[in-house]
Parts: sequence; C-alpha cells; structure tokens
Amino acid sequence: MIYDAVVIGAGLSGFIAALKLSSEGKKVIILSRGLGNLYSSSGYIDLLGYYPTDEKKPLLNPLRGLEKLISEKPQHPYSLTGPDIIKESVEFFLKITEKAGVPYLGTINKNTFMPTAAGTLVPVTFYPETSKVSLSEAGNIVVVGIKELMDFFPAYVAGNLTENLNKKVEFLWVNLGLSINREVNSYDIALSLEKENIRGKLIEELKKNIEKGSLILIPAVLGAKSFRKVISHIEEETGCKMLEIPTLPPSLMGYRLAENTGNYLKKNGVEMITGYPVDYVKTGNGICEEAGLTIAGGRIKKIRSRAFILATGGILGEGLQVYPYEIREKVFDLPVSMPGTTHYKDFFALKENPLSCAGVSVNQDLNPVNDKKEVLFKNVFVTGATLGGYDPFLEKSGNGVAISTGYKAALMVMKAGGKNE
Amino acid sequence: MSDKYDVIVIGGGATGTGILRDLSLRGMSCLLVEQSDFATGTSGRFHGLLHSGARYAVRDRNSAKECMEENKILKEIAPDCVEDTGGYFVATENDDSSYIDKWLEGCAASGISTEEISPKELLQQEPSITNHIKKAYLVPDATVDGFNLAAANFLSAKSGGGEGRTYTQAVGFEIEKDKVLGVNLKDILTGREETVKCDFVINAGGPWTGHVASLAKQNLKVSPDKGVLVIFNHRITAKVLNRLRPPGDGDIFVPHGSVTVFGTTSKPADRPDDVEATKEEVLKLLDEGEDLIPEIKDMRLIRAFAGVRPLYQPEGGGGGREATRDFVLIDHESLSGLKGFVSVVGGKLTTFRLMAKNTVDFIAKKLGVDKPCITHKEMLHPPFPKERPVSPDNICQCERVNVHMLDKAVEGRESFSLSDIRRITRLGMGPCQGIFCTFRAAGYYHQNRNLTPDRTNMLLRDHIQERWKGGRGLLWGWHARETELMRGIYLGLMNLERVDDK
Repeated sequence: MIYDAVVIGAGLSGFIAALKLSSEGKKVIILSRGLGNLYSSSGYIDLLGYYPTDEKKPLLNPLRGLEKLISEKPQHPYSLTGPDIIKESVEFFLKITEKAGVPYLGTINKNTFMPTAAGTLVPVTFYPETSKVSLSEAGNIVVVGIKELMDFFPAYVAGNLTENLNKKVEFLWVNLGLSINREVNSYDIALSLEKENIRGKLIEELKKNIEKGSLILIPAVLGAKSFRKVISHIEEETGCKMLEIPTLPPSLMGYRLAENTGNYLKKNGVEMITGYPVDYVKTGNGICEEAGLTIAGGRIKKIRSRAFILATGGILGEGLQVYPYEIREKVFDLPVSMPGTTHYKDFFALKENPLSCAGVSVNQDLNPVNDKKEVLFKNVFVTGATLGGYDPFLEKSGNGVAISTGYKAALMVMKAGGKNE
Repeated sequence: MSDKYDVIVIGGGATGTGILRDLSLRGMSCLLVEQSDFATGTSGRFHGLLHSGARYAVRDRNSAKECMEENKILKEIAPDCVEDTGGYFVATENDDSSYIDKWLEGCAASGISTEEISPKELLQQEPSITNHIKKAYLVPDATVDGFNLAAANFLSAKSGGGEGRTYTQAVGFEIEKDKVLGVNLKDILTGREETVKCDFVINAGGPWTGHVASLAKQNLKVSPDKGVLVIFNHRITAKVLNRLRPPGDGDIFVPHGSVTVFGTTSKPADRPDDVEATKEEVLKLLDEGEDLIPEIKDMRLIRAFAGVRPLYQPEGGGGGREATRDFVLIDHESLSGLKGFVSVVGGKLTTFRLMAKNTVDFIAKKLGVDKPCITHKEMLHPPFPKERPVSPDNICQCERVNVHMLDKAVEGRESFSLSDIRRITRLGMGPCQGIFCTFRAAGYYHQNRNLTPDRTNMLLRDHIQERWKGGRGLLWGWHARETELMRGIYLGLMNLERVDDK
C-alpha cells in the first residue's frame, strides 16, 4: 500500500497538513515520536504580533503587518506561503476546530490582546470560543488564584493588568480543599474540576466573593475533556464570565486543541503511529520512497508514500539537533542554517535570536534546498518550526506559521499528485 | 551606623567575612562593605572543594599542611556549610607514575591521610569513572558552599557586634599625613555617598584588591587568573574526584547535593570580573574531563561560568598555577609608609580562617587589643539548614525551598534580587536551574512584600537574565532546547520582553 502522504510529526503544522489532505480524499498517515508539543502550547493562534521584530508596539492589524513583512522579507515562511494561502489556511483551521469540538474565533485583520500569567497583554489572532471576552468593556475584573496551584499568582497578574488596562483589577485566592499530597499542576486541577463536588466548592467561593456580572480571570484549569461543560456551568452559577489564562506547561488550552483535533483526524481516516521515531528514510534520485520505523519487538515497519511532510517541530520539537558547531536535521539530514552565531547578552533584547531562527531552507514549494538553491527532494515538504528564517517568540507567529505552512504543504502534495496521476 | 569604627573591611567574600568575624569576636568595632552581595566574587565562583591539601602536596607543602589543618577545623565548626564527602585521587594509565610517589611523600609530610583503594573496588563504588586506572587513593577532601559560608561568617560576626553593608562600594579614602582616616563609600542602589571613619582598613577585595589599593595610591600587582567551571545536572560521583597528576585543567569533579561542579582551567584574565565561560572554553574542559569520566560528553550541563583567582605576584614571580597560592598580608606602612592600611591577597578559600587570623592578629597588635583568636572554636551556622523537608508546598522542588525560607531570606533587606535569595536558600540551583521556580518566587514576593508590578517584573527579568548568562556557553544539546523553552515561556507566553523599562 502506498500512502499519498506521510506526515512526520504530530504538531500543529503536521495536523493541519494531514487534515487538509484527508479532507481532499487523500490517504495520509502521521508518524510521531511522542504526543507532540501542541499539548504544552498556549492554545492561542498568533498570526503576527509584532512587525518589525524590534517594534515595541504590537500590531493591531496582523494582515497589514503580514503584507509589509512579505514585501520586505522574501525568505520568511509567510513570504513563501503568500497572503492568499495564509487566509485560506486560517479559514480551514476555523472550520476544522469547530467540527472537532474546540471552536475558535477571531479575524485575520484584528489582533486581540489577552492577559498572560504575568499580567502583561499579548497579541493573539485566533482564540478559543470559551475565551471570547472584551477586556475593555468589562466592568469589575477579578483575578482568581487557586491555592493548590503553585504557578499562578493573582496579585502579580492583577497588579500588572491594572497598569496595562488602566483600570483597577482585584485579586482573590480560592482554596479548593484538594488533599493531593504531591505537587499539583494545572492538569490535576482541571481533572478535579470535572468533578461536581469540587467544582461546587469553586463556585461557592466565587459567588461568596465576587459580584455577578464581573469578569473572572483564572488560570487555564477549567476542565480537560469536558471543558465546555465546566466553563458554562461555572458561568451560569456565578453569573460571571470566565476568561482562562494559559499557564506554564502542562497547558490545558494546548491540551484541548491537541486532543480534540487529534481525535477528529483519527475519526476522519487519518492513521497515526505514535511512540516511535522515524529510523530511516529510503531516498534516491531526489525522491523519497519510504520511511521506516522500528516498532515493538524490533520489527521494522516500512511505510511507502508518494510524498513526505517534515513537521518535526524544530529545536523544541527535537526535529533539529544542536551540536557545538552545527545543527542537524534528524530525518533527512537536510542542511540547516543559522543566521550568525552571536547570542546577545540581553535575553530580553528585541533582536532575533540565531538559534530560534535556525532551520531548513526551502523554495517557494516548501521543498528543502541546498545553499545553491537546488531542490534536494522533490516530494518532501518542510513545515512549521523546522523551517528557518523567523523568530516565532519575538514576532509572535509560531502557530500562524505552523498552520499556513502545513496547509501549503498539503496543497503542494496535491499538486504534485495531480501531475503524477 | 557608627561615628567611627576600629576597622573597616573591604570585600565580602570568605576572607572579608572571616576577618569581620574574627574582629568582632575579639571585641573590635568593625564594618564590612561589599560592592555586590556576599560571595559574588571568587568565593562564589570556585569548585566548592574543601581541600584536604593533597592537591598541593608536591608543589607547595606549606599550603598543603595549612589546608589539612583548616579542613579539620571547618568540618568541626561548620558542619552545616560543609559536606564531608571524602575524596578520591585517581591516576589514569596515561599519568606519570613518578608523580604518584612524590605525591604520597608530600601527603605524608603534610599530615594528609591517604588510603589506597583498588581500581576494582573504586569502580564498584563509582561506575562512571574510567577503567583505565593505574592507582587510586582516598583522601579527606570535603565540599563547601561558598555562599553559605560567607553568610554564616557574617551571622557570627553580627552576633559579636560586627556590621556589614552589601551593594556598597569603596570609591576612595580619606588620607591625611600618610594615614588612612576613613573610607569614601557609595551605595550602589541609591547612589548616595558618604565617608565613614576608621582606625584601620583591611583590603580583602579578592580580584579587586589591586584596584582598591590603587584608590589609596598603592601599587599592588594582583593578576586576575580565570578558571572556567561547569555544572552537571546530576551527582556523578559520591565523593570528590581528583586527577592524580601535576595540577592541570579539568582535574576536579566536586559533588554538591544533586549536581556536580567540574573544572577548572587557568589563564590570565583581562578584568577582575571576567566571569563568563565561552563555548570553546567549555568544550576544551570537557575534552580534559573525558579521561576521568569517559561519558562526560553525554551528560547534561546546566551552567557554565568562571571565577577569577586573585594571584599576587611579588616582584619577579611567575604567573598562573606557578604563582604562590599562599596568602600574603601586606602592611602598606612598611611597603610605602601608608599607615592604617593592610591588604590581604592570594590564598584559597579552604584557608580563609587562617588568613583572617593572621590578619587580625596583626591588626589587634597595632590597635593594642589583647584578645586571642577564637574563630576555630565558635560554631558557624548558615541562615538555612542543609536538611529540608520534602513538601508539595515547596516553591523550589529541586532544592526544597519553601515560603518560610523566602520570608526569612528577605528579612531586613530594603531591596533584593532573586540572586541574593538564591545564594542563601539555593532557590533555582538544582537541575532545573530555576526555569519555573523563578516565576513562583517573583509572584510570591509580589504579594507578600507588597512590591509594585514594575519591581516584580524587574525581579523576574533580572533573574531570567542571570540564568541566560550561565547558559550562553552551553548552547548545544539539551541546553539549546532549554533555552528555546525559556524563550517560549518568557517571551512567547508572557511577552515579558515588551514590558516597558520604567
């Protein structure tokens, strides 16, 4: 059996590529070493928060910023995808997430400013429907901390937000009375809140201390699988709107996106093998024919495909391995470039970090190229964080690049497939 | 603060705080000034080895003997600052056999006990050591936490009436008719300047000793010598591990709690604060260490930094490892006629108490104070105990730091950085190096110390910046990924790089 596409990596770009191909009737399989970093992400889709990267003021209109970026940075992944495909890809994302049970909101020409765990505001373009709120229109705002959760300090969040919103934000600590005798994280709390009695305790504390009609900012712990039920129950009982703030990992907002889109793709015929890294790829004449995994019992599973999408997540996802004097791409051993080696003394400098910008170079079709711009593999497409040429943390574009390049890779696979048929 | 002190001590490392302690326990009024926090100079940037002295047994028997005596004393008076791990000296098959005999002779002559251990037995105890062993011996090495030690010295000094001010720099001296009358001080945090009078100044500035002396127009040739060190995220060996060969680079592995400090190197430094390790320096160090620990390059590094040795070169001496590691007390009156000013320079942390004793003996005589030194008898207690309970409420899970410790650590401090807290509580010093507990500590202090959001933002950012500095020489492998994670959290998730610097 020959697949139409093998997607290597189970992150956001891999999922989008697989979903698009499968929606067009193609046979797709995802190979993933682990669960993927999407589970630890903030759950927001940042299309473009800042441009130029050293700009202190955020973009109010990411589309406008995108257009400027594309005209000035021809090697940026957004320039390789182009505005039309970017628009199509986010529309696709919105459609899919709605069907998957984790609906998102937002428009491509507007950034929304969401509160962070430090009480700062961060520009995001698409956000979960459960996070729909207008900070500027809210009356009374209260930040709620949970005693059992060590990673969230409501007073600090409220303090910074008061300055950033120019309006007094209060804070409150709530004790859920959990008797878990080990360090508790946000996932533990989310599971606890799926239980009626513990949720009841939270509701009681909130009702006691916060007036109806308030906006409550709370760490993202309001349920895992049944988050929509948990959130609407609490909102109904308290008469307040709840806005979750993404926490340090583990992150429930990332979990919900990953879990729901993962389930959706499996239901829609995308196969997935999780738990084994790709052992080898069989290539020749500029084409990749096969990928192999060593699975349980030492058996080699050979997977033949017309196309391969490399979505291995860059340095964080471990698709790129950093050595003292070089960076290597793990599956195809593609050349990896890094823009210079100077690492600035100031961690918070508004300057692109060479490591974060490192990655594989590609052509307009997302095929990997060498330094002479020659295509290395005609049927291999590189997406997401494994691509070089952008600093996702500074310009706030990680998930936007993932979605648009994953989508484009799917289109390229379809185009190539059409030629072969 | 007093009108006039008997003595002002400049420098808050092991030597300076040790001197303050000895002075106050003999009833002299004294003030210590330190430009940063205690033990932020050389005393906080060394391998943490409480020498048995065996390392100096061949080249410098006097040093070796002093180390052994002080080693015994410190184990008795400062059990909470010292871990009596014991140590190994291991000669590999490539190492010079004739050196082994000289070493055994030197140890015996210096009163350092050595006990041979068979390679087989050694490997059973320590499987990560190379099996190309020629000879191995046990010695009474131990480990010491430099921050805890300096803090313990200071607490002991305080109990005797001694005073100290951190973030206070000596910027000049009041000198009249060839006598030092006082010190011009500058508060680093507020910028406020004032002059404090004294009868004597003790210059214990470590690598800055030459600079401080120059403020009094004294010419002291103190050569800064840089030593690079790295920290591994686990305890590689149970005891200190030394290479049994003429002292060279990468000879020492020192366990500290759950991590290992490995080093070091030696090369002339440009400045007294040349404390960053470069990638090249780290890689070279790992090459050296491979002989003793073959799998060293597969082990996770969590920090790379450097310390600067203050090497004193009296006219005509050689530099680097050749320069004397003995300490020297310089009486500037005999050197150049300047009264009321002494400099203490050189030495090693293990013998700080002896350096202090010699210095204070001299000063006491000058001031007509007839009290003996008792620093070898009085106990030293650091601010926080080594034993800490495991609890789900701990802010720092790796090092078991709880909120009560955080509260106690800031007592009496007008302003503080998380590094100040880290040094005495060990917050963020474990395998995770503070990626999460930094945030927790900042959040905790915000509420409990009523800080402004700007202040807390600064606490948080400054400490992340500190962490970044310690990792800049390690940007490959696991640490490269850690750095991306740090950027993902503090820039991506929290947008802290766009917070205005007010």
